[in-house]
Amino acid sequence: MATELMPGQKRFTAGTILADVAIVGWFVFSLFPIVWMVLLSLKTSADQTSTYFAFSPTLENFGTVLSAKGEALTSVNFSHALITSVINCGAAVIVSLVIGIPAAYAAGRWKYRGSNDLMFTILSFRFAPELMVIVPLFVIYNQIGLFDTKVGLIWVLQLVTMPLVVWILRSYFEDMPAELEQAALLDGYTRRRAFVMVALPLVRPGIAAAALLAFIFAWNNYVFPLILTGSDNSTVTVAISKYLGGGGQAYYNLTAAAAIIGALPPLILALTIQRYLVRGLSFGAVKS
Amino acid sequence: MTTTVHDRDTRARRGQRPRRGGGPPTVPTWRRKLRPYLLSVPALLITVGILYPFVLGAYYAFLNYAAVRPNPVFVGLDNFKTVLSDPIFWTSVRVTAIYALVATAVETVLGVGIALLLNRSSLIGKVFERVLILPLMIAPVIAGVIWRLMFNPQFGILNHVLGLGSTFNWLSTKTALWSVILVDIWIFTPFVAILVLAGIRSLPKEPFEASDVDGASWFYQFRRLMLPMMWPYILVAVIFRFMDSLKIFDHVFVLTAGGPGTTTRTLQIGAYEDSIINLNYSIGSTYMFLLWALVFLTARYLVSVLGKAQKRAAGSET
Amino acid sequence: MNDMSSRRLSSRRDFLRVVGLGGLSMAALPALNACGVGTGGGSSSGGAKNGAADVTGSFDWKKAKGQKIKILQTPHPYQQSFQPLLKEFTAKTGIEVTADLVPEADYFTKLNTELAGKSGEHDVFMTGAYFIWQYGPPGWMEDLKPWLQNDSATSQEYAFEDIYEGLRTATSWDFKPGSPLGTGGQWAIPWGFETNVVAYNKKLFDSKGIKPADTWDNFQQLAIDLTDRANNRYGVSFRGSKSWATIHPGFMTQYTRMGCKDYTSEGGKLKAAMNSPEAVTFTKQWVDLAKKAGPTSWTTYEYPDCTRDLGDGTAAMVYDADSATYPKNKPGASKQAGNLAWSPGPAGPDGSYATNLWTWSLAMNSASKKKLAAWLFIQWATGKEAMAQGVKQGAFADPTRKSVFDSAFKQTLGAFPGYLDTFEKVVPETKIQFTPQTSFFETTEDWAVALQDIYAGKDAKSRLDDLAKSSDSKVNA
Repeated sequence: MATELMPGQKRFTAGTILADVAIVGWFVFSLFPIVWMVLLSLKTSADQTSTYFAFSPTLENFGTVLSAKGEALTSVNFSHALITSVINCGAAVIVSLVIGIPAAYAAGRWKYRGSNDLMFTILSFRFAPELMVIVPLFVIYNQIGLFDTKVGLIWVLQLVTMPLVVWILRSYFEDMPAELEQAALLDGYTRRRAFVMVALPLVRPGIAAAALLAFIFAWNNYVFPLILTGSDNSTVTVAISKYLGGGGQAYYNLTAAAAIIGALPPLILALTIQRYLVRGLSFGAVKS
Repeated sequence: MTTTVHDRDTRARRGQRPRRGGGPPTVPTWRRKLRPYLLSVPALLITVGILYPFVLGAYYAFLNYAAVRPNPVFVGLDNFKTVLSDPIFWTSVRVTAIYALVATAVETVLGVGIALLLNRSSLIGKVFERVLILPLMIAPVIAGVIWRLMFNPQFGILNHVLGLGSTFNWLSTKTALWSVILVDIWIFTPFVAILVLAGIRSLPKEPFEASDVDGASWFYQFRRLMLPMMWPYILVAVIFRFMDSLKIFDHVFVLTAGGPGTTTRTLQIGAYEDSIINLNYSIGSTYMFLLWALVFLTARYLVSVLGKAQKRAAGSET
Repeated sequence: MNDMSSRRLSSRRDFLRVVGLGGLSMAALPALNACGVGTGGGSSSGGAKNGAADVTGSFDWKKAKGQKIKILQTPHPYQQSFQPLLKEFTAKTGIEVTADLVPEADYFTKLNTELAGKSGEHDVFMTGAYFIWQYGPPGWMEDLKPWLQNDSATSQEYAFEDIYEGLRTATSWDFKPGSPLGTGGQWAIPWGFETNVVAYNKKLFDSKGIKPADTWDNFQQLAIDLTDRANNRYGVSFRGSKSWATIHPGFMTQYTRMGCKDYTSEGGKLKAAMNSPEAVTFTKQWVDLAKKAGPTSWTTYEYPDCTRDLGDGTAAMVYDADSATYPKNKPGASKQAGNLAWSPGPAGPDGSYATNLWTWSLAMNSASKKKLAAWLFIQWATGKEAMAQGVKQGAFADPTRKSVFDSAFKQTLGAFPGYLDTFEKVVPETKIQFTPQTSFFETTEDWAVALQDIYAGKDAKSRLDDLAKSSDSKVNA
């Protein structure tokens, strides 16, 4: 880590400049396709694959996606799908946090017997290739009435979100010095209060990172919503891909517009949560 | 963070028993021993719930279930014999292994590098940190579509901007595997970077302050202090990326459908071909069972490495 | 516990875990089978009972009034032409229709899973002929012959024979290897169809004073002459992706015209014939054409890619479905709209215009619980009135009824030079040129992979010999 700079001091070394160049290099690579996608979303159907940068932009693609015209092309109400996705993914992440944080805490703080096994079992959710479970899941969901429901999808999404939450947070709980909690206990807090007032704030960056990443992976999940939902509970990613159509008319411009709109909720979440990703509460408060 | 001290009066007001000696609240031993398990029970319950369809999926691998045989019978290990003696299966294993190893390695190196670069308090770093996450916002399926358009030699933006003309094929027999890996790197490097960055930011300050006082160089700090403490965070990212890339399907299928020939036919694509296209569910399940076993065993190994790294990280903090 | 023993212990535990899972699943067999779970409750007859016999009384469009049905479709000009008409169906019959759309790339994933799961979620679905060969044997589709023959269920004016014969037989088979199409039950009703011909940029041709080629050799030469890589133009676009769909359109059409067959029938068994001398020669020429005059990333090309290049002016010709290129000529649809024309493509050495067809047909889910309502929908959608109205929307190419083609559709073809002549020239010889077999997708995808391998440099004869050998065993399994 760089040493603290005195206010007003700027360090220009060859290293700093090289580092800046490297960062810019990565971001050119990283953002170029996104910029291109934005351009694509502004093109008309005739222009979408026959122009590069010179074209007359239009906002009508966004209008189409959000309106009945888009619904006619895809049989999905896009705004409805957005809301469904927000509910599904938000609930899935919350469930994972509520269930996973205690488990991660238990495994990280006390390495009790079997904790490694349990952790590994939770991780093994992610081993299952999605296609392997999809046909049995489809049959079972139909039989127990979870097909095309939010609850059904939230449960399946645990396959995606829970391992992330638990494993990311376990590292944080392991790193957390036990002394701080002990201090709180000495002061008379119950264990639960010590946890809430001391442990949780210390691992805030971990919770932020885990929640954000779990949300994104759940949001982008494609196979489960495709097979396990029908028209009522279509999610955003499925809705976006419907613009790729068939019968000769692939609406890349509409797909791009829909993808941009579809990326907004996770983006908003990322922007709001990012301030928790900054330097965590200083562990240096405790003199060892 | 300041801890508020509660005095006797406050505690009495709350109705708590004042403690003699000021020790922690006493709790019966059995409850204390049981506590970690109790905290983990809900997570365990979810496990069991998901296990059932998973076992069912595995069960297909022991039948001869296909669309043309809707009433399958038990065939023991026949499917495994068929699949394991099929050279195309082994080609898929090779493709998947190369994909997973290269993608994960590159993403880890780049991700850690980006995290370190963003960690400096520089203006450019602060600006770009906001947009680091953007590629992850695009679902891999859609990213596959976008990159496919960009790769197209006739009208794709890449050949145009890079001056490669209309005859350079990003998805030819020689180049397809590397191109799909490139797309994976584009999408998922931010995942590694974010995890590692959050980890760096929660590292304790004293060891670094102490070594600064001692006059240590950045490289020394990095190698001796930062890296060992960062390893657990890096490894978590590696574990997730490696396992996910063994199962990769979404964007590869959109870009090449596993072709040309079998050059990008990963294991899950092979399973897809058998289950969904050929409607031979049992062979598809066999593929996936073997894929699952592969992921399982590699994860086991990586997790044990993680365990050792955590021990070392704890040691280097003192 | 020291490191070594703990490692050995954990690897033994892993091995046990993996074996244990297998064992667990095997042990679970009887329990799961008893619940009928997993295989979707397969019954011994392989399918649900046919519902036609339950319909009695006189025919009436409102016979299933008040019911709701769900149909599964993929976005397509046919589907889009019918979308606005759905409310007329509801007015006519009192049946509400919910249409679910799944993009073509995922359509069969969704459909296959649903049919295998026997949930009966969708009552009617769009399907193609080849899929019948795979969905039929497990009994997932309802045989529509009894429905057609039941006067209580089918209106007198329906006139099934008005649908082109090649289409009616394409969707009918008895699933016995060696049996030709047209035997057995009627598994779907043809709704829209396509012939595979050549669409070209007429403006470009006129400016150079050339006409479409009429022999295979001339065609290849023409395509090569029209290729100008430096200016990002190439002669002919056709499919090359890793899919059965690469063999089906232009390739199979020209292949058949040149006198080649996919399988020959010898005493109830099928024998692969893609490695016959004529077939090897043709295949080599086709792949060479892709290299010299085709798109650069040919091995990823699907038909939207081909038609897009034609529409953008990058490709001079497309050898694919007429209905795929048809929409590109409508004003505003593409850069080259208004400049396109159609030709039958080169004839075979003996003048053959044999053409392969694709038909999107409507089929009924045998697990449906609303079969009468479903049948009424299929009947209406493939009936004369609705089809004529669909055609008037301007994107329905080609209608499956001769009467509708001759009237409503012909009138729209003014702005599509050569389309009608091409159609009339090939339609007498248009049918499914493939030999029906239940491993169609697997073996035909293998065929596409063989083409890709030859494109990458493998020797055509030996590669096709390998293909023939593996296809023989798969087809006769």
